[in-house]
Amino acid sequence: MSPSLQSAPSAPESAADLPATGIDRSCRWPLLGLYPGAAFWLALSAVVYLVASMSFHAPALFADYAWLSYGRMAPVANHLLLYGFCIPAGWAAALWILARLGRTPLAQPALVILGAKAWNLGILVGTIGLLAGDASGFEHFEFPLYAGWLLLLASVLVGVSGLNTIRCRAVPELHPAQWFAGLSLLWFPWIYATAMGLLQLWPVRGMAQGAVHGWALAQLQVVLLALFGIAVGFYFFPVLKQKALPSRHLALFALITLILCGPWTGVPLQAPVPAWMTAISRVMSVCLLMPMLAVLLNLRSLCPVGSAPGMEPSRCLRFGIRAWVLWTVLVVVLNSTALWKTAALTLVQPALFQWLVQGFGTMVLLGAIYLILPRIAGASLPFPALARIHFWLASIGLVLVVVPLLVGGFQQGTRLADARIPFVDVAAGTLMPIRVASMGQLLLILGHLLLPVNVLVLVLRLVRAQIRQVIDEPGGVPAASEGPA
Amino acid sequence: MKHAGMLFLTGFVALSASWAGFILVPQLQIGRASLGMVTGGSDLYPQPRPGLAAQGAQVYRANGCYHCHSRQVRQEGAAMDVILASAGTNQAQVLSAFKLLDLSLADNPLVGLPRDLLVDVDKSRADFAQKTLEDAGAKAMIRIRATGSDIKRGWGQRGSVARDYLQDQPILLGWQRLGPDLANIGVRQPDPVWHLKHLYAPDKVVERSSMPPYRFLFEKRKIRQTPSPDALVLEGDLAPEPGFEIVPTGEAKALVAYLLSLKTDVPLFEAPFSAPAPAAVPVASATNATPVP
Ligand code: HEC
Repeated sequence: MSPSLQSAPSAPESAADLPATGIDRSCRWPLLGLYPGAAFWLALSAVVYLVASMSFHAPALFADYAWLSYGRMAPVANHLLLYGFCIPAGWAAALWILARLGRTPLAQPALVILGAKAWNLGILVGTIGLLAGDASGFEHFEFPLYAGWLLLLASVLVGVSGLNTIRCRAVPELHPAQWFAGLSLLWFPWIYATAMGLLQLWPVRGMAQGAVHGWALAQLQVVLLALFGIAVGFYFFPVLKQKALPSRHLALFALITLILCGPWTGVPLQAPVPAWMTAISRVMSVCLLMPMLAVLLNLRSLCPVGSAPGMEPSRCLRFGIRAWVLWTVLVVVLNSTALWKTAALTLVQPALFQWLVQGFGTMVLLGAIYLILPRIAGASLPFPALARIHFWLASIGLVLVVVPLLVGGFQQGTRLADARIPFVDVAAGTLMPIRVASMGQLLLILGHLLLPVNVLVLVLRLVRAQIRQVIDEPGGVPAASEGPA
Repeated sequence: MKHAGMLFLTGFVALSASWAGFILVPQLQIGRASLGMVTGGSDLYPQPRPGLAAQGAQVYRANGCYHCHSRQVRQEGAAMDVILASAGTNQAQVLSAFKLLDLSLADNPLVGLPRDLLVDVDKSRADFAQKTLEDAGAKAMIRIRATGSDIKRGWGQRGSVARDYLQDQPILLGWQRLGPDLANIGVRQPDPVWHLKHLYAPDKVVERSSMPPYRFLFEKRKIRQTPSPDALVLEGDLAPEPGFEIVPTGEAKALVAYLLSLKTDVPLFEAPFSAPAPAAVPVASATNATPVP
């Protein structure tokens, strides 16, 4: 096993690099518990998106199969993307960042391994539940209760390990990336427990559900994804550029404005809720400019470029941060003008969702995966070229998905607002953008299928090496002598 | 922020603040709301859905109809019309009231009552006109109309308000309009047979429909002694082979019962509108329209 990448881009904060390999090794199996599942669900979600969009190419295709119908496929795809990939991949990055910056091995790795198992089981059970018609009825929180319990349990297990890693840190001062990573572990259990409790277990009445739902949506998409993404950005941009993060104050400002404003942004402006809620939601959405600008200012001088080995994944990071900036600008423009009226209840909504979750969340986390994997494995990626191809397919595919939906959505909104245009014509107008988006989806599938290849081959190699070692030195502790010098 | 304690305290405060603001307060404001009175009536609104419709809501949820259909009517504003219902006894006084109101008197305004005097005016003008006319001994009413493209499309007579959802769990608002809004489909399309056939083969019922068919909600079975009274009447290539019939499953029937129960057709204090009282209504029954004091 070649120790190649271990030494390539060394982190400035681990200049006294002695413990880094030990730390990376402590993360190896816990993270390899999270990553293969995440990679698999991501690829599957891309396929399911395509299957779902078939209902717009040939409406009668799945007329005899309940589980293949659009209303069941669409939530499955969304959940596999958000819960199947983004959250575990985000946790993996967060845990690793906490261990690295705290210069301490990951605390209680067994909890993470167990948590990963529970999480993947939860995703599997939840997906089957959605296919069987057990959706909760709240977009992006549709997993049935019996899957929710597993997810909640997993998030607590992973969170405990992460918080203990912070507690055991050898560096007393917390790095900004640790703030974001630490909070990201705390966030999910709270929002998911709230959503499960107040939407499903003891549902609140009427539109109060809409309020809870809007809150949870914003927490999940606007706050949690940003916590993951900024943690990764604040860690890797300085590492790749071999420079320190310019300003802790800006980072603090970004954190506070993000978690103070973000949670209030989820109530749709047209929703039949008391007017003060939509007003707050609108103002707070505009305020999202603050964390965005603060992060941008901080990272501006750090933009990692270059194609040296080990730098490749920085493409994903750059794309992701830019996507986040663009998303924020779009949201601010929509909320500060009357354009939201056109955008409400149209394809603009899935376009924004895809751009945020795939363009920002998924891209940044993919970059993190491709940077972290070689480090925790102590070996370079089996197929670095595939990682590069993955980026190109995914980014081009994503643009092909989002742009038609965005343009088509605004057209749809304009036509909906004109009552003289019969509804069937409005509906017919949405078919073309959705069909074009399917082309982009094909590229996304091809791209996302490449991640499991790299991950699985890497895991297989590691397992084989481990077995060989056990055979070579019977009775020896396998991990002790292995790994890069 | 150097210390973990500070960090988690900040996170906790931010989470609690939004929790209090967007979960606790709405819960106090909406969650405790009581059923309201229908304006001009004594009925409580909304009524719980009857059993079969309540089951149908779960079919709607299970099949993700809300991924294509919204269930919320948007209203942009309200317009007011002033209607003269009867001129009373002192016609001269009414005519002078007309002058006061600056109304043109091209034809004789006091025949063919009730008739629209003012269309699309704001509240103060409408109130003033009503008062002036009533002082002159005439009987005038104000009609409130909701405006907006959803209303023009016939998707409802008023915008949806929080109270409409008090009996719903889950609320199934929807976030897409790939299909039409269904908040009022029970008013717009009250025929259960239409709905069953539409679910079975949308494009045979609505020309150029792109809604996917829901054939899995139906059963093809051999006709026993007598054909089922529920069997769909289908022609052409839709018809099953002879000796067979297409029957809706219990789920399909429940779903249709739910669709028929989707009505937000009553005026509420927070969402007023007057039932259309067109000029053709005879004077005697003009009071059907809800006058707004
Ligand atoms: C893929 C998107 C899609 C899904 C999923 C979908 N519909 Fe539709 N629906 C449409 C479109 C498009 C129309 C407009 C064309 C038409 O009337 O058939 C429509 C029309 C309707 C109408 C007639 C509305 C009117 O104003 O006349 C009803 C009722 C309806 N759908 C009910 C349902 C139910 C119930 C479900 C779930 C079982 C469902 N739809 C799922 C797209 C969808």
